[in-house]
Amino acid sequence: MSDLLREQLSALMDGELPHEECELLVKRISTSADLAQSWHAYHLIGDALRDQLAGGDAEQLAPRVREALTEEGKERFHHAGRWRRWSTLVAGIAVLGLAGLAGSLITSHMDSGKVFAPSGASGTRVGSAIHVDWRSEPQPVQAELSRYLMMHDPYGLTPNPSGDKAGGAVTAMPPLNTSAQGGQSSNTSY
Amino acid sequence: MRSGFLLLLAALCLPLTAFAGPNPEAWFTLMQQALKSRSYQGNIVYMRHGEPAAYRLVACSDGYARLSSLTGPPREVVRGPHVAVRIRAGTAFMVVREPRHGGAPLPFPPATQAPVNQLARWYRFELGGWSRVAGENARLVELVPRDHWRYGYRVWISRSSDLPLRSQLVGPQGGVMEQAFFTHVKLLDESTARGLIGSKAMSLVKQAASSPKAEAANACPGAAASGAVSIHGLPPGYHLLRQQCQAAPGARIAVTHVILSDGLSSVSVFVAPHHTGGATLTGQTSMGSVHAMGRIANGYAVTVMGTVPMSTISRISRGVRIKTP
Repeated sequence: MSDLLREQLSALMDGELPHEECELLVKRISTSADLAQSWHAYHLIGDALRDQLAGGDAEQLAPRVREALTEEGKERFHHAGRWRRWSTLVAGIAVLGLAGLAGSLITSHMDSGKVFAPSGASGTRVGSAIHVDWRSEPQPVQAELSRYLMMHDPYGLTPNPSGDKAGGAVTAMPPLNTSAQGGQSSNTSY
Repeated sequence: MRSGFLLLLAALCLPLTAFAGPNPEAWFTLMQQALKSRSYQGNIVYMRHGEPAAYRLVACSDGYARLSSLTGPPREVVRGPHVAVRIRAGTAFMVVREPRHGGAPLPFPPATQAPVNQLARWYRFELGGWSRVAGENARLVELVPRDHWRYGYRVWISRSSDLPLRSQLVGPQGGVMEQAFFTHVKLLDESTARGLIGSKAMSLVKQAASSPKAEAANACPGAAASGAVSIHGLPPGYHLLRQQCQAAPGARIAVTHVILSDGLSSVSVFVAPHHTGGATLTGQTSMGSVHAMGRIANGYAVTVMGTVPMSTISRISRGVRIKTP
């Protein structure tokens, strides 16, 4: 799925997609399994969290996710304008309803508070508009990048496209040179 | 006398951020102290590139932590003070030394323990408003980059626990590139946290940390060996943290792994022998906010990667020099 589609999907979830784009996107969702899967992912994550959390935690989760995202929504709201946000959301829902697709999903989505506003979209535009997406690289290159990502940030939250498939049994490697060096100004070398 | 005692008791019960006042650097320092001294568990939602993911984290004040994915492919990482072990099917699948460069066992930024005065050279600290995150009141502290060589960060610090409850990576035009936030945090005593991390998982970390250090000596042959790789013209603020010979998971040949940092963001440089027809990145690529650039130099594949602007990646890549044997 392209970044543009992903961003459009995010905007639709946010109610920030222009009406004419809503219509086109819904047509695409109805014909693209990949896109439909992504659409479902927003809903499924909430369900997955519920399934795997203890009762008390699960009850608190949805409102807190919503709370956190509402905070951000307010900021966007401020910039985008109340009318545009709600009119596009209503238009989006209407179009989806007409297409007979995901209407019930939206209802359950809103009711359950599983409102995920993927805030990465705006930033991703900045980052990925110019550069080739990692996932469009040849498979061996992707595998190499995945290995490097694991080494770069083994404890980070960034999901690895190749997961653990890139791996295998490894031996711990000690550092050869652990002394910190280098300066803090421009043209620094080490 | 009694009221004085009660006042003192009340003051001792207050979180340190209650005394931080309007100074964002003080808030940040107290957050760093809390990350070192608190044991806690929580659920984290991470969002990037329109894709949400959920994790559960248990962190102990002794430096151990366990991070488990709740969505997507199963993934589990156990971290000790100086080692991170990725676990698969109950066994160590990958070992990385000095994870996060001695930072706190928090899987999202700003988990750095770098002194605030060092960070302040490259980031301007600003105090924002109050929000509610994970059911707690939290104060926003912004780290605004002073130049274009790094991204900005926003962190919401709990008033009650001093822990960072929410974090955002901010792009050059102010857009949020990725964010992580707790949906729930519970403070624990150390023994409870250790129990939740699990003795078997902690043993794996200890075992990895105490493994012999001899085997890497001949693992990075030729020009990829230590001392043969140097980087010139680093962007301002970035300095060498560590250079090591490390086996990539599933790869037959070890690579030289150079880690650079400005105290908050880090960049990795990987140098490996290039084989014609092999899997090597040439050019630029991105996965969300993680950028990478690859090129061939003197028969070696040089790959630079990090959550920093592509211009930073590109400048570092251009500065890599390899001395052939």
